[in-house]
Order: sequence, then C-alpha cells, then structure tokens
Amino acid sequence: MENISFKVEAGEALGIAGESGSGKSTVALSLLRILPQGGYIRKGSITFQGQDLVTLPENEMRKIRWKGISIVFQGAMNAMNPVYKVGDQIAEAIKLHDKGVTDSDVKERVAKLLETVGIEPSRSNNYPHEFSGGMRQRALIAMALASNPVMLIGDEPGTALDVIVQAQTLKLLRDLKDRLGLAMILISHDLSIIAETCEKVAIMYAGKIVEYGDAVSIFKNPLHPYTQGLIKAFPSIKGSRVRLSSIPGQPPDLLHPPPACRFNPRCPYVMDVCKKDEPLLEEQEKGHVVACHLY
Amino acid sequence: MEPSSTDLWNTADPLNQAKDKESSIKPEKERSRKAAMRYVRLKTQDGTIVEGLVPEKPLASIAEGGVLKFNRCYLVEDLGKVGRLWVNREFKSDDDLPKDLPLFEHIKQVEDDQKIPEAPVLSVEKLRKWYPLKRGFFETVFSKTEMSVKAVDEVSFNLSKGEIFALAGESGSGKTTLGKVVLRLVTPSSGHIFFLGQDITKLSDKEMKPLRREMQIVFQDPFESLDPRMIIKEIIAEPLRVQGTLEVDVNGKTRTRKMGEREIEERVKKMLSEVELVPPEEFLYRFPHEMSGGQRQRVAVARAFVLSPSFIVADEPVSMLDVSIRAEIVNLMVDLVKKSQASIVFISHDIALAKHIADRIAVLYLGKMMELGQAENLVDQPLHPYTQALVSAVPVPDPESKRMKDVISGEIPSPVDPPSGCRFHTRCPYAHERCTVEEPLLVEVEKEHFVACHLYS
Repeated sequence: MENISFKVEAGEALGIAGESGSGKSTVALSLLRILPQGGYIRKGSITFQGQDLVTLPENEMRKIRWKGISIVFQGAMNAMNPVYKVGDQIAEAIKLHDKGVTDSDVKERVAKLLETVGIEPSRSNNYPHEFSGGMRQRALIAMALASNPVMLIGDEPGTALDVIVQAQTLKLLRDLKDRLGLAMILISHDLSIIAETCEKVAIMYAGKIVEYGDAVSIFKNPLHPYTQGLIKAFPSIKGSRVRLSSIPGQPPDLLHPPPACRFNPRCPYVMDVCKKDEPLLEEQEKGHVVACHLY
Repeated sequence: MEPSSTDLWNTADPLNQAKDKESSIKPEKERSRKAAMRYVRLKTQDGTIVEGLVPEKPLASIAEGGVLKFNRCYLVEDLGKVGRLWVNREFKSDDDLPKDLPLFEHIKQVEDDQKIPEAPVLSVEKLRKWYPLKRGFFETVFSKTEMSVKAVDEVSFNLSKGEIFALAGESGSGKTTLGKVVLRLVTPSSGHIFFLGQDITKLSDKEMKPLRREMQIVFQDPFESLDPRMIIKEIIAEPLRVQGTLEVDVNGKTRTRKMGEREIEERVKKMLSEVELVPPEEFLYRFPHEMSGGQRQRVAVARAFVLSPSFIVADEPVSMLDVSIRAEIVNLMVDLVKKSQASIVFISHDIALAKHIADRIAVLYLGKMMELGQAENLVDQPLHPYTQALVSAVPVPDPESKRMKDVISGEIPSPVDPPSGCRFHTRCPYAHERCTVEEPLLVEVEKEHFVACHLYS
C-alpha cells in the first residue's frame, strides 16, 4: 500500500472499493495501528481529531481504539468468542474502556446497545452460536458502538450474509450513521453496496488509490479505466439482459508490481507513457480526482 | 414388439377399486375393466401440458401394436390435441396415483412433428429430501414424533435441452441439496427424477455409473474441489479414465472403450484451450496451488465439460471469485453450454446474475418452490412477496437511487419446523389468515410464470 490519502468528516461515509489484494483492509488496520506482525507504517500521517496516530505511543493509541475509532470485522461468525455470552462480551468492551462504571450501569448500557441494533435485550444471555448470522453481525456492531466511538470502520460488513440480511445490516449502519453522527469507512468489494451507503468513494488498485471523489460523480462519470471495468463487471438488477463484461487479466503480484501505472497490463487504453511514468492523482471535476494518463 | 416398450407397458399395476371412489376418473369403468393405468404427460403443439391416465389398451389403435413410446408424436383424441409424450410412469401403489386426472381413451400416433419440443433432459416430480435429526435416547423413548430437516419439499420442474435454469434463494433454502439430489449424489426421500426419460430415482450406484458421463457438477470453491496433489492434466483426465470414450461398433451398437494415453492428452489439451487456459502445454503439469482462483475454476469447468455431458449442475460457481473475474467464468460457462447444447442448473444466491444469464429462474424458500418463470420477467415483475423482497434487497450501483424501501425483517426460519401454511407467512408483509393454515399451490398465473401465493389464487 502506497501513497493513500483521504479525509472523512463526522456524519460522512467513505467507501473503499477494490479487488481482493488491493490493500483495502490494510488501510483499515493501519488506521487503528493493528497491522499484522511485520507490517508497519513507513511514512505519512493519520490525523484523527487533531492527533497524529502514527507517532502516538501505544498506550495513548489504546485509548483511541474503541472510544475514538472502532471496527466491525468481516467474519461475524469468527469475530466473537464462542464460550462467552454475547452480553458479557459487550460488557467487557465497556468495562475496559470506561473504568469505574457500576455493574448495573454496564447492564443497562448493554441492553440499550442491543436495542439500538434491533436485538431483544433479553437475548444478551445467549451464546454466539444461538444467534443467527445476521444477529451476530448486529451484535458485533453493538460491540463496536460500546464506547460511543467517533468513527466506525466496517470491513466487508455484509459479505458473508444473504442479500436480505445484508440489506438489513446496511440499513442499520446507515441509520446509525445518521442518528449518531458517526464518521464511517466502509470497505467492500461490492461497488453497489458502497453506492448505496457512502457519500464518498475511493477506488483502490494494487495498493494505490486510482480514483477518489463523490459517489454520485464517480458512478455517473467513472474516469479511470479500472473503475469503469469494475462498474461494468456488476450485473445490475435493473435494465435488460446483457452479456457480462469483465476486466481481463489478474491483479498484480505486489512483490513485483508493474512499473509506472500499476494497471497498465490490464488497461484497454494503455499508452506508452503508462509504462514509463506513474500517473498522479489530479482533479478532473470538482471533488473528483483520478490517477490516469488519459486525462 | 421392442423389449423396452414391452416392459414399459406391461408391468403396470392394476388399479385398486376401493381407493378410486373419491377420484373423478370414471370409477365404474375401471372397476369393470381392471385395467392397468399409466400416467402420461403430453406437451402439446401450443406449448401447454396435458396430463392424464391412459388405460393399458387404448380403444383406438396405436401404430406398432398398441404400444406407447417415449418421445413420439401422439394425438389425444378426447381433447383433440397433438403433442409429444414425455413422461410415462407406472404406479406401484394407489397412493401414488394422481387424483383428479382425466382418462384418455383415445390415443393415436401421428407423424413426427418437428415443432413440438423434445422431451426434457431432466424432469423432477414432487422431489423431497428430508434429513432425519439424530435424537437422544430419552427423546426416542418419550416422544414418538420424528423430527427432520425438510431441506427440499415437493419440488417439481423440467429442464429442457440447452436451457440455463437458475435456482435462487437465501442460504438454507435448499438450493444446494436440490442440486445434489437431482444428480443422485444424495438419495431423495420421495418423488421422482427422470433423466433423459429414465427414472433414476432408485437406481443403484452401479446402474448410475454409465449415466454419470452425462451429468456433471462444478462446485463453489475451486480451492477445495481440486485435489492439491494432482496435476491439472490428471484432474481433467480423471473423468476420461473412469468413463472411457463412447464408440459405435460394426453392429451399430455404442459401447465404451478405454482411452489411450496419447488420446487422453490430446483431449485434455483441447479442453484446456476451450476454457481459455492457453497455451495448454503450460498448464498441463501445474498443480492447483500454482494457479489463481479464476484459473482453478476454469480447470473445474474443464473437468465438468470434458465428457461432453448433457446436464451440469453449477453450485455457486463464481461466488468465491473476485468481481472482476466473475464475469469471465460466467461467460465461459454460458458459451460452453450454448456450444455443446448441454442443460445447466445454475445455483446462485445472486438473483441479479441469474437474470442476465439464465433462461428461467426458480425461487426457493425453505425447500419449497415459490416462483418460477422466465428470468427477465420474474426479476422485473416479481409476483411472490418473497421474490419481491429478494429483488429489492439487491443493492443497485447507483448512488442516486438510494433504497429507502423497507427491507423485510427477520431471517429464514429453521427448516426443522417450518411455519404452517405458506412457509413465508412469518415474514410476509401481505400475510393474512388463510396463509397461516393453507399451503398455497404453485399455479400458472401468466404464461410460463408460476407462483405459489394466495394473493394470486
């Protein structure tokens, strides 16, 4: 992942889209500084409420996690501890981050959190296996909200779920964002999910942002050939039957990325300059930047 | 008389008289004649289906000594309809016998009519797969009620030649089980499966083996469905080694023959280029782990098509793949199906994808078929509330059309104890009293558009 810049404001949702291996999740993990061993942030800054998270000492960073930024992970099935009751797992998050709360307070807050995400508070005594997939995902969202975070990151929050449950989950996230004024980052490979939920979109390819801007202008007028291909690759439920189109080739090996523009081996409009110079993100329309030599 | 037609005709059981008092099929006559009945379905010239019973010796004469044969053109004189007869089944017991069916007295063979469609490749009738639940000792002592997971419950459909038939529904709707049952990878609990006109419901594994050449499957996860210790050449060659090749000998009989090594390699190479893994020499000696997900799924497709089967089940073949590669694999499969005139059952939870590639879509919910129709028509004008919910839950890649519509609440109930009446009534926004008690039947509300909902009956 290289040269990633974006900005998210309160009450706003940013969608990060791209194929697997494009570095979407790495962005999320870097924001929280929970990269797997061996990974580290070499350069740059993450400014969150005026603080630079990159240089922050670890004990300060722990205060940011959950209270400042919290994350909802992809596999709702595996993200919870199977031997603890759901309510206790949420309570643990509250107790860890707000020292000195009384047990009855915690209980009340757990009940309230579960209610916010649409689960009967009485179910807090159930174990994760007694929940359905959709409910587990909701419980995870409740857990992420335990310490009233300012920002919520959703890493593929609907991917393993059925369409109907996925739609329910996304609706919940949208409602929560509006109701609580959360800043949100939604990571997904599914462009249509992002189109429905987010105001801003960043398209990532091979560790770089290739296009960034307002959702409306990106979907109405996709500029980067990769974005165009990605949008076309999705069969829309509306409109008449068409033959699906795809982006030929495969995502590059990030150990030896292609020189200059990383998309050049797969690009239908490839020019000589694409193999020599790396395109920079330039503004094409107001609030819509793209990294491509075509423009 | 040909032997095959003889046993088709002569082994039918005589009708039991007592049971038939309630049924409308002329009980008087049958009692006196004690005739064996045969259930027939006729696809007529105008595309409608006529079903009924035929007595053992129809009154009018049929060519070839009164023997009904599959796949021929017949005239049902009682109704004045011409059509091809494509299911011919005997009934072992009277409970099996469909009630309220007309009795065709006069059946006459006519000259073959090309306009009338051929017999379906696969015909499924009231198929049911229940998995019994394991119970504890005390439960078996104190409670007599058997519990079972009703994965597939009375599903019927036909698959014509060259058709792409999509099965859509949430997880837990029984799509995958249905796919496995029609391939006889799982034995059905009841119902009938006719494959190329033959009842394969109760065939043994040995009897199934020659038919396996004609039926193949592509699994969901290419990381698990390919043996990691086999090279690509061996993976694709395995079906050829097991089944051999078909040959016509001097007497005009088809028989299988073992294939030679060179022949196999040629065939594998040809198949690899057909799935666009070119040059084939480069892929022959690779292991699955040396390939990307998309390439592996191409190998799985090649393995399924190498015997040129007439029927393929594709169980979510692209849901594990990246979006940008998905379209390639889908297009590849559609092209191969069109080229080889194979029929395919395409299992997918993605109804948007199904709309673009399938000819017809069947929507399943808790093992029941809720709606069946032409793909485009079904998605654009869904009739069943469940299909409507399914279609409206699909996200649209257009930020300006934000769905403010309400999503139906709840999740799919347990198939162990499905809701009474209509299985969808617990989540249906239009549910009324009738839905909780009476199960709706799948009825044709428009041409070729079937729906099981009380709103339309």
